[in-house]
Amino acid sequence: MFRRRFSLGWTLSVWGTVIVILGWSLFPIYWMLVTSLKTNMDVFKVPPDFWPLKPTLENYTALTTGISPIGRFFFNSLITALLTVLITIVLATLAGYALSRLKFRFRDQILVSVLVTQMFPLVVMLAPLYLLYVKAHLLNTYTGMVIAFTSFALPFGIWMIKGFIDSVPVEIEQAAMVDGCSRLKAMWTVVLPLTIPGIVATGIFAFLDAWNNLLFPLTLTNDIMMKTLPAGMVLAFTGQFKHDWSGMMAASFITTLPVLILFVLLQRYLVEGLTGGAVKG
Amino acid sequence: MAGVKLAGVSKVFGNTTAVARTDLEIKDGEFLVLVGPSGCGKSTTLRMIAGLETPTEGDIYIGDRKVTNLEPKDRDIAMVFQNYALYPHMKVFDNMAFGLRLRKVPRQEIEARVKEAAEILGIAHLLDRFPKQLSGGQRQRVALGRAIVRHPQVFLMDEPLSNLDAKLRVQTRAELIKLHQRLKTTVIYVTHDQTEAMTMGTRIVVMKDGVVQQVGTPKEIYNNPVNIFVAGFIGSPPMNFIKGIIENTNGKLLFKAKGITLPLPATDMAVPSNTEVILGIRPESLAIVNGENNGTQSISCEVEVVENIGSETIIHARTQGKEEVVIKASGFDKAPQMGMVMKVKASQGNMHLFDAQSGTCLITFAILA
Repeated sequence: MFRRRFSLGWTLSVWGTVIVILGWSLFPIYWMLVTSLKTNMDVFKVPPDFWPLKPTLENYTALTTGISPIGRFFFNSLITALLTVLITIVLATLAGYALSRLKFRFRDQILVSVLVTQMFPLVVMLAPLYLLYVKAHLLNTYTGMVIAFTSFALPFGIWMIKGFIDSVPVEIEQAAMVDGCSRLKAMWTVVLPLTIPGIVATGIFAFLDAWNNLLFPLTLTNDIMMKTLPAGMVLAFTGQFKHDWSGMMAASFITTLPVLILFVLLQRYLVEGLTGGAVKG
Repeated sequence: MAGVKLAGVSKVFGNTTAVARTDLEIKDGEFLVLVGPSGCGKSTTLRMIAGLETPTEGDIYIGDRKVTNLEPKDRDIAMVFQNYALYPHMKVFDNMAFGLRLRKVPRQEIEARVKEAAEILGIAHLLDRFPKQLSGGQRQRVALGRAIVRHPQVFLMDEPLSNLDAKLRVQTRAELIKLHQRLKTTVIYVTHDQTEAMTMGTRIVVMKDGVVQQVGTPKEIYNNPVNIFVAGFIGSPPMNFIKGIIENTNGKLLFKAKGITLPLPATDMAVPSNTEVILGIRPESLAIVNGENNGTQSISCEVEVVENIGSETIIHARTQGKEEVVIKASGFDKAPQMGMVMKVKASQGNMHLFDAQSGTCLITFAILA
């Protein structure tokens, strides 16, 4: 097999770029970990210590022994994020399929209107949403939060999955229908397995959207026991007269872990194309 | 196995008529080829038979069953697509077994049928591979295998060879003919390649602009085209057409064009004098005549291009009336040189007179050597 040879200068510059980008991406995570292992006194040291000279786990133990219900925040985040993922994937897949494959009136207009909903800043909608939620008795409920998160993740998900379904040749689906599938069965057995990367990407996006969302849980819940991690942490570690940065970094690190694990487990679906060999390329 | 019948079937997309009202009867076990240029409606016709398009009007029957409004899965047909349309996430075995599993065929029978089909097609060693690990020819065989394991009543094939290279296409063409002889299942085959149509079809349907032009055996279509389109579409190189007029002197017909005067055989058909016609003559019906044998029946023309393709020579020449004439001669030992003026004469096969306005074939004469 022919293999292209690169000059030393080119190789060095490629590796240099990779290292800069990696540093740019990973340094905040490193700094979060390092800060979480320092005392609050050490955090404000100038110049800062790039490695904790006296590492301590007291910030982590404080998470479980402190007065803030971090465990409850974690549970709330997990349940609302997972439900958001589930509902977004189901709805985005059905809508994406319909918008990709079926011909009906106003299809293009619907597609654009889905996108338009993404153009409103979240802050603009908070007050009216709060008033609506009061009337609908959705404040301080998982249902309320899941509806809010889903409404923001869904338009992106629909566009994303529609794009993936567009890339699956329609002949494969027609072949399945001739082979004995109904439209729904062809979608389930042939189209969906080929759009797994899109479904996974949509799921990750919905999860991140729900997991990291601060404003919705901050506004739509006033019961501390219903707060999710971002909103709970803001209330637990910051206030008018306190800024417990090392405690917040410990909580942030714990918060980041599920997202990291999710990426590591699912990243192969994001980079892998599944339609190779289906039709003549 | 079953025949297929199209009764007054048409398909309209918006303002475009893809298939005009069509009546067609395909006999049980027949290999029918739908042929025509791009956009002639042949694929739409096939897709309506498959159930992938709904006819705007008319009915489709497979055997005695009316299937017009049935879903593809309920029509008992199998289809081979131009671009293979294999399931990329399934191995070759699973691709072939997919339709049988959906029909709840017992596992042992599925294995037996897939193995049998794979052996017929020479892909038994590929059953554990994914489609992306196969070559184009192998993928097309898998697509064929997926169709034949089902033992359907009708095979529908939508230009299945057009993505293969020339050599593989000829080879697979022969294999498809053998396969049809072995299975004796009705095949409806769509192609734009007239050679495929001529070599494979027991009957050919020539289509243009959504309208069936002629239905017949390859021989009938080749020897007796009903109009100038069919005459020009079937045959390679295509038929020569020379514009001129007919002179009728007491029943004796004379074709006249600039620099050409050809006496035509006697016919019962009354063609009035000065009728504008187009004379059609196939390249292989023309022969170069020697200098001493150039009677009134010969056509004088200047050689423009000579293509030697081994067993035969294709000569492109121009008449005095600036009409292009192609001559197909065997061998290339006596091939003329470019720029040379030569005389050619109709020597075998048929000659056709087409109405210059409508393009309809008026008379077909056998050439008397």
